[in-house]
Amino acid sequence: MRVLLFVFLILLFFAIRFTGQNLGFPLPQSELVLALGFLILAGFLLGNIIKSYRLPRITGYIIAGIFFGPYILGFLPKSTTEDLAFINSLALNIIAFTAGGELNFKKIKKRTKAIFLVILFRFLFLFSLTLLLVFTMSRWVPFFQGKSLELLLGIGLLFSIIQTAISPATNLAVITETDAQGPVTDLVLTVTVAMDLLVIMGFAVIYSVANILMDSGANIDFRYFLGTAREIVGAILLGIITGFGVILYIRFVKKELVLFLIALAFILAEIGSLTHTDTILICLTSGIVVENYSDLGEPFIKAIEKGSSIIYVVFFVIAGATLNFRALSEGWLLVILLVMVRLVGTFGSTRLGAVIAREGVPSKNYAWTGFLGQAGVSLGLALLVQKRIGGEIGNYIATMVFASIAVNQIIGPVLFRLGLEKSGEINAERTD
Amino acid sequence: METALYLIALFGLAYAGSILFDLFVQRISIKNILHILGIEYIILGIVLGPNLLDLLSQKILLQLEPVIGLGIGWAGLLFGSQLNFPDLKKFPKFYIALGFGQGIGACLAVILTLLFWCTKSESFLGIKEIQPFLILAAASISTSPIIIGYLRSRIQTEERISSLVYFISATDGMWSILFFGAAYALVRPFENALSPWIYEVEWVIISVLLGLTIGYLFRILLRIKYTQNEFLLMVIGLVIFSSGSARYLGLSPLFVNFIIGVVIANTNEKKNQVQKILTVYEKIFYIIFLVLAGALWQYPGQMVFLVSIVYFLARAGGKWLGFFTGILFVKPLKKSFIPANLGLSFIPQGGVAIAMAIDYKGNFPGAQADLALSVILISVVLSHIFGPNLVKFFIKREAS
Repeated sequence: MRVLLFVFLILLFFAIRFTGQNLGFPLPQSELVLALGFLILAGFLLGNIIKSYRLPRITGYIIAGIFFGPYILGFLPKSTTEDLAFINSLALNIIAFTAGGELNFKKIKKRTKAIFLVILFRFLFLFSLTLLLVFTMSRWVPFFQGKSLELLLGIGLLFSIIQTAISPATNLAVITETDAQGPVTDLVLTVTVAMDLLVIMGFAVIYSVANILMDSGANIDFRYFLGTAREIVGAILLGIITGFGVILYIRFVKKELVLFLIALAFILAEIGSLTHTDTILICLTSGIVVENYSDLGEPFIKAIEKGSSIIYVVFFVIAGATLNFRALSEGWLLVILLVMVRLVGTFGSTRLGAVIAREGVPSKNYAWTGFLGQAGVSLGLALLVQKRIGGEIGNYIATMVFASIAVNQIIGPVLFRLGLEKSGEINAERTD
Repeated sequence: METALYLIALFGLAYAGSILFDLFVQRISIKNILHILGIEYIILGIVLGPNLLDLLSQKILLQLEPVIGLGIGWAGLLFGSQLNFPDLKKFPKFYIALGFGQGIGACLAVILTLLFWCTKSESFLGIKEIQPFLILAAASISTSPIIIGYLRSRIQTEERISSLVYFISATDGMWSILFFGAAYALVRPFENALSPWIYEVEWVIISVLLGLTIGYLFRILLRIKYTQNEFLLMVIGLVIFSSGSARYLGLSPLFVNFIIGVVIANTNEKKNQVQKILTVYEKIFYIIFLVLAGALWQYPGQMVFLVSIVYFLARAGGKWLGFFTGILFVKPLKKSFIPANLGLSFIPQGGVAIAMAIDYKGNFPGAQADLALSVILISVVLSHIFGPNLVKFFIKREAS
């Protein structure tokens, strides 16, 4: 029945669009509302269909975004995805609140060694394997042929740093959906959040080095370092202040917490765009402060989770719509290899780190599945490369990264859900 | 950093303002009635909007169109979902007749007054078309059930009177939205490729058909089992989709969602579940909607205050006359408990009227829509200052 409903919805959407376009007057904003409503319903139905095959719902959301987005069926024009950017950043901020709120320092303290080792080995493995791949494929990939060693090294470094990024939103969505709890969940969440911060900082360094390698006239851009450091420190400080502000609000005002958090996410999104601060980091830090410096972590998370379903649908449908699957056709071999290298590197680094840290069997065997998803941060970095490096090289790197993110974002949540199931950390499906 | 401090200061100011506002309304004995509608949220929206601070800029407001559509659609769906016809039939027929009478009275009074003024005045705020008058007339029919319910809980009176007042205030929105949907479709100011082929009445039929089709979709969706979060997600998606569909075809999201709500209320056993989720989350969407309504408001000129007062008085007079006329047709035995002037109790105007104004502005932006929105906002404020006292007076007087 759900499949029939899905088909009925698509036909209805077609009929309305056809009628409206032939009538000749649809207001531009009306297309945005119609498209978003359709995507939410389509994502919801597809997520439901996918769930019946014991796969995570967000896979359905992403697939809906991919198919109906501008690059395949074109139900949602590209301009509309750009118009939805504000709602997307609101959703991202709220997800970041949740991610921060799930990080408990007491739990992290017990696993510091494992966290450190997994992160360390992740960087080592992915950098080595990706660079090896780039150099090995320099003979077979047309774009790499004829390029100097320095250039290849620069390209390899940029690919590598983006490869290390993980999507906290994806992991959080799967964990929330499955109500997973346990050592694997804790390890995955902590490493994911820490990686977010490290990748942003690491990108500043890598970008400078790669720039020098690719452009012999370039110098180390200390201003960029300082700018990035300032952004990060500023975001953390603001996050701390915001976190304590949230604590005071919950403790003394106690009213309309959901509305307050939505308004706060909105204000932070505005502040971020005006001051060029990383609002995700601000929200993340706020959530960490609320969870660890008060006893109000639970009401905080509960308030956010009230509306979490709609947030995840909006975010992942839009994320899916921005994934350029067409780019796969431009360099499918390299993309597939990048995905495989990332998979192998992730498995190897996580397992090695967990073994040395003497983690339990579930963490050794299944924690790696949580480090495959890629979304917001990776997309952001790819766009940054496209913008800053520019030219043929910048565009090529971005295109390959977009395509590999598309694949990782399909397989990541599926494998993570499987990993949580195998490790026995999935409780009964959430019922309210 | 400056902006952050600015924003922190603004919120501090808003919070302090809220406390002062509380003290003010207590001092003038309105007893927080204005809070029931949330006037402070409208004011906040005006402050944050393009007129003053521009934090909710035009660009952001355009991007928040789905949220506006959600708010309007939510109101329509909630209202429609409460209209279960078998339940309505349990009430005496003259309740419905009196409700219709006071509503039509207000509607006609407003149309005639504004048209008369328009013909007499050379330039009535530059308005030359009938559409804004029809929208104002449609909005004049509805009464705020929230305020009536609020007062009913505080006034000791005969149960039949308060029951009648509450019934009419809860159901006259139905007439209001029906008239609104018709007005929306009937008077379309723009030309389009197919307009010679589709007549006005057919637009009304298309509106209804769209509502029925999506209502049918909703019915089938309700057969699936959901968690509460999933159910909320489905409803939100459906409301945005139906509002977007209506908007795309130049129709009223409020009306289309109302039809959907009526379909659910009368054809589905899960209607209580639907109503529950709509009611639980109504406040959040309503507050956001009020803020956005304030941000969308554009000042149309000084004359608007005079127009609003005339509108308010015409509406009040029409309600009284319509109700009074209705009583004349009710059998003496049935109407013995009804005060003749009870029609003035239906002055409080509420969210449905504001939703109509925003809905209208969404598809037909411009001076006409700004006028309609301004008049309705001012009228709502006036009706909440004077209305509750009139309600208390008439209900209490009968008790004594």
